[in-house]
Amino acid sequence: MTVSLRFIAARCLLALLVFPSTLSVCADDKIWSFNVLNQRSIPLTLEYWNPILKHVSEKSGVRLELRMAKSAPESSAAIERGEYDFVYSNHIFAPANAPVGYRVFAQPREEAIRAEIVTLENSPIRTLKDLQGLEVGFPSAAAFVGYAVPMNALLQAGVSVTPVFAGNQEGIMGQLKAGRVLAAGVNSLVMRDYAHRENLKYRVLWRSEEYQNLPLAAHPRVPAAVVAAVRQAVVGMDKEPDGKKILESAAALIKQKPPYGFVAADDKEYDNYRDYYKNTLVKGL
Amino acid sequence: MTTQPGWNWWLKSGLAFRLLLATGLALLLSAALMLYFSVENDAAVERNRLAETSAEQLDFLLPLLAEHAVVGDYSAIQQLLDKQVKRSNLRNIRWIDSRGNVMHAQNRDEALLAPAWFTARLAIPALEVTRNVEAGGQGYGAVFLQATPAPSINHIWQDFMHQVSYLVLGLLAVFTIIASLVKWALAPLRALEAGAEKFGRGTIPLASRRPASRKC
Repeated sequence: MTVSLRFIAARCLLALLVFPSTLSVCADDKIWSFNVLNQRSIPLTLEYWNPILKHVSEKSGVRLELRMAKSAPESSAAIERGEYDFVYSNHIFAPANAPVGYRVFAQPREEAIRAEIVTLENSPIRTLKDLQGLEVGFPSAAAFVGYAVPMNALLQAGVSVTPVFAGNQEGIMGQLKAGRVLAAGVNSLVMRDYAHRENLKYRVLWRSEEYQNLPLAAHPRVPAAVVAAVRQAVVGMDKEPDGKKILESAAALIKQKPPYGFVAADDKEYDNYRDYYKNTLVKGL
Repeated sequence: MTTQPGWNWWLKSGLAFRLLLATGLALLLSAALMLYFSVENDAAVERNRLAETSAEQLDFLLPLLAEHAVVGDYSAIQQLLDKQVKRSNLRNIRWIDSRGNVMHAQNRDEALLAPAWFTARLAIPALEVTRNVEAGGQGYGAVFLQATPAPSINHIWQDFMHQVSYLVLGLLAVFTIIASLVKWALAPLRALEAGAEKFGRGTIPLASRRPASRKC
């Protein structure tokens, strides 16, 4: 018995010496900030993400705390300052933010996203050319598929529009629904879920290539062991009964369609984001 | 048979006086009962209204507090508390975040217009409510709200004083009308009484009252 105890103690000591961060994952009281990009209203985002983060915190032993900015541009600015330990955002690829070096470790299991320029089903707008000189809504100037990609398409088509911003994706969808704008640049999946929830009929005037869905990424300062623990908990969530239940409840809030959950991912899968920024006509990104 | 002095006094009082006194007492009693039940009802309504209003204010505040808390905009939270506490029924609001930091807003105390006996009779207590601020199962501190009954009490007291004024005026008017009616109604009886007295004293001769006979 004594030999066994000595054996175990030696192995633990060896593990701690080789992997000191293991101790911090296991016994750390540190709270790690987790930022979610403003795609929807803050109350809806809290209802969606807090149960998920609570589950991931319990499973990983890493205490995650949801942090949000008032708007997507403010979130992007905070990413540039490296304020968040973890993010769920594709603003990490923007030229101003890329130098911070957030590292992708997971993404939603959902299909890839596309940028779309949409209008209401009964709108007189039929082509991009019909938007010449009109106001077109966008979530924010920091949005990738919501602004950068569709605006690039408009510029390439020689269509000049006046952008109207709303702070987040669903904000501009609300303006579209109310008739404040005749067309809007949006994230295809957020638009689909919003339309389903709000019973809104719309037409797609233009659609981009596929881009990987918003990634979960970690700041370089976060120890690898912590990132690994969070990734494991996130990726395994839909395979556990209670995790699956939380994902389904969250999806029901925004009328999100399956599949639910997350898969492991890495930076290379987001190369077309970087290619876009190298070749875009849109200024000030 | 001996009789009570009070009963003797009552018997010796005039009919008009007894009539007016009894009517007046009956009117006063019914007015007093009406006032009493009216005030009781108002107090019950205000007690419920205070509780309902406080609950509604918390329902309004909680999601906003969570939203500002997750963003870390404590300035917006202070502005929110400052604006909300200005509602007349609130005395103070406190929000304590998940780390124990306190944000606080206080209203000016409304002076009580009602006297102490009236306030005690109404028994509308100050209300204190605490609720946890939560969103998606995550706690964002707790909010403490203290509602004051002073505006409700003042409102009931002012209503009460108005009602007393109207009742006093009404009672005076009714009393005056009844007194006039009684005086008018009793006038023939008084004339009869006066005539009978004169007749009894013999100041009215029989002959003078006999109508003149007609000679055929």
